[in-house]
Amino acid sequence: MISYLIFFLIICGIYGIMTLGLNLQWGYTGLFNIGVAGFWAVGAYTSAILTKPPAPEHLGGFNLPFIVGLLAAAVVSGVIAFLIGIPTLRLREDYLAIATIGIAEIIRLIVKNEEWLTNGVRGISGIPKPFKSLFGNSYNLFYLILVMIALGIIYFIIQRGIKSPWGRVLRAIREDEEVARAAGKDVFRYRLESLVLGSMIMGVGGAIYAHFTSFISPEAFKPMQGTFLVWVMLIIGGSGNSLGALLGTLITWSIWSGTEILTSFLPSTITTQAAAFRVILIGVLLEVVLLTRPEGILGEDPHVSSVLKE
Amino acid sequence: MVLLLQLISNGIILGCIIALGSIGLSLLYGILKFGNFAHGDMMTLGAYFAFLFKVQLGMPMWAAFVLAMLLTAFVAVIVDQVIYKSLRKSDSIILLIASVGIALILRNFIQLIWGPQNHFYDKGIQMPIQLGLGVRVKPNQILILVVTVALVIFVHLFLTKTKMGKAMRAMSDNMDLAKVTGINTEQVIKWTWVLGAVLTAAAGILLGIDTHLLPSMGWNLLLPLFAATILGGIGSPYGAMLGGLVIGVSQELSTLVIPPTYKPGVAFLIMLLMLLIKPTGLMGRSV
Amino acid sequence: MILQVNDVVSGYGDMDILHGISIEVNQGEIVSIVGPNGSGKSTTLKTIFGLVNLKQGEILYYGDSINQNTPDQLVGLGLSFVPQSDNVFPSLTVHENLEMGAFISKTNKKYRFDLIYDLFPPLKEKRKTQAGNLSGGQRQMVAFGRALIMEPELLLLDEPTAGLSPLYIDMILDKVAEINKETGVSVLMVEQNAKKALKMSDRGYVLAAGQKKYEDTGQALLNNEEVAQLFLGG
Repeated sequence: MISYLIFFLIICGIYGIMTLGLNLQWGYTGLFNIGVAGFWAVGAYTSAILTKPPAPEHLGGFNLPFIVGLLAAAVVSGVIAFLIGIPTLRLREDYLAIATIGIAEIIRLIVKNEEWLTNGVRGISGIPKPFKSLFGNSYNLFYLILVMIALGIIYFIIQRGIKSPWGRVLRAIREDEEVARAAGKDVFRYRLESLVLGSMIMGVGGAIYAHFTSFISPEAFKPMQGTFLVWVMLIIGGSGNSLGALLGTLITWSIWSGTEILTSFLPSTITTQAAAFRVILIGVLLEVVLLTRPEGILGEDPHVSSVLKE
Repeated sequence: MVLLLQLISNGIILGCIIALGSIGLSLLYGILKFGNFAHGDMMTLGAYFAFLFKVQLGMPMWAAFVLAMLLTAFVAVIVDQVIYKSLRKSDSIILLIASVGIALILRNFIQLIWGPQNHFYDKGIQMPIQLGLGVRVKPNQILILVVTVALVIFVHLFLTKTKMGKAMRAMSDNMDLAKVTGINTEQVIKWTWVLGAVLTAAAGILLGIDTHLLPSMGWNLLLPLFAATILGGIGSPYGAMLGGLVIGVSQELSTLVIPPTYKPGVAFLIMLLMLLIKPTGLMGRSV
Repeated sequence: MILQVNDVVSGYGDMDILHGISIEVNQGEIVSIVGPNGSGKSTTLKTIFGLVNLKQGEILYYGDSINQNTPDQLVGLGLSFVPQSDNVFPSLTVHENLEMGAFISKTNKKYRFDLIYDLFPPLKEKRKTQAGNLSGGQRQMVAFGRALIMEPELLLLDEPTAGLSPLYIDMILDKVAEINKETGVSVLMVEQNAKKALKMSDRGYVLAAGQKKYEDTGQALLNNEEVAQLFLGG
């Protein structure tokens, strides 16, 4: 029971990191990023490739420590976000959404096809768990603490950022882009910074995930599902609100895991059907929230919600 | 040379399917001002409804085709009335998110009922026909071309000769003026959903005829659908037709230089270029 | 009295534009609303037609309240509105634009169209042309035609001569007078060309800062020195 709870909280925490990253991009800056799963994958694969011992199936053998893997995940995600942002951030928000789907798709295709890099659909296994030898049986507990520390640091960074002059400009841009521009702010630059920072956070989340599960593959990310879950988490909890993002993560993950437990009692022949049913459930939940309380449980910054209610 | 022509031929067939899907997407985008991310999965729904009628209920293909189109239209209107109608005044992003939710619900519903495995309308294998110049087509592909042309003509007549079709074009031009003119905008919106759903269901069935059925078949085409819509110009059904053909042919021709698995990337690149250079598309006005 | 606007307060969001406006239109009259920019002239028309949020007051049409009616319902009741700009469907032909004006009609009677083509002969030969390809003056004719095709009782015009060349300005205003005389349709018109408008109006209202400042017959307002000084530029 306890071990399940620890496992639950670890994954929940990782999703929390993803949601915080998305909240920065969407909640505070109004960037509609459907490529969440893409950055997750980038972070996970970057860290995996850099930290593994040599393996013939894919690029690797760098054997670098965990912390380097994490940092590299952040940097590579950030660079890719930067490259994506340059052409797309000037687009209207719904065009940006479509563009990010395309990018997530391209990342997925690259991961699937460039076998020399990623071992394709067979995935990368044996990703080293940091400090595994030190903790033996209570390793998961250690990992949970690791995740919570990472989550805490990221939360702290975001909150400081939001309350800073930089953050205020971000919110001004979200509220009224024209006014912000008239006030002389380089809207594009702020948006790019938010995109990059948010993506870096997502990359870190992906890396932490990779080192926990020890195995990643294109299927593990189930792109639409992963992205969709994070979006639901953010909307349920309240976008534009970091605490709301975390609350939403907890609630959504509880429902998702809870239903998984329930359906695990069903015969295995209908496992895929059961999984499908659970996705429908989350989908319906999203629609209900959008129809009844689009600002989410913890409401929002009044600034942000006025944009939603227009 | 033969390869080139063959690729173009394949591309035209694919282009027909994309075009049919995009016409509805473009009209809906122009009138409702949001990109319906569930459009691909409506395509899948149409295909599976046809499967239900033809394979499971044993009806002839033409009947299954028509019934599937109508049933998909019915579902589309229901979804609009229950979900999108209440969100009409919301930011287009909220509608987009809602449509993503609908997409997932539809796709998983299909998987729930029919399972994740491939399905076929017909077990047989068709012998290709030689068209000359070394190009080969399957009889089914000719069917796809014929059906597409017929539907396109139907759409054209509908938009230019019927009151509802003209009202759709009017609303796409200027929603506020349409209200002032006395057009019953909600009624026109319903009809737009019907038209869009009928076309995309047809596209799905044709795709199923050409290849096979999979729960993700429509979703996999969503990017090309949006690419065709944007290429042609949002709100322009004729632009979507053109866009669909361009995307289809480009994707097939691209295999001459890049690995086939990256085909969807081609659609995306074309779309991105269009957005950066001329967002109104080849035949559209600004939205 | 076919239209009665009583103490109407309206505006956008938190901002009020009209601070208690009262206006009336009697059967067969041409009534003009004039005043400086930002006085709320257009907002008055838009409020009547259900396009701007009515916060206080009442609007009565033939004695019945139309506070809550949507624009398409008002068309069904016999009101018609020509907006100042973007008042035709550019990708539709002239004839199709007129057809949209007749959308609420269950039958597509040809006589309605003949009526409009008789009123605006130049439109007849252009009826297959896309409205977006017409000149400003021709487009205004289409906008009028669209609004008149269902033979409304009350026609609301928002700055009908805005942006038109002097030739078309007179033509359009002459048309308004002609339509009023021939069909008996009552007209409530907002105009920047105050002098010309008041000259052809039975009565007029002068607005400033969302309130009614003067109300009298068209002629009387024209002769009123204070009004001339303060508000009548054009």
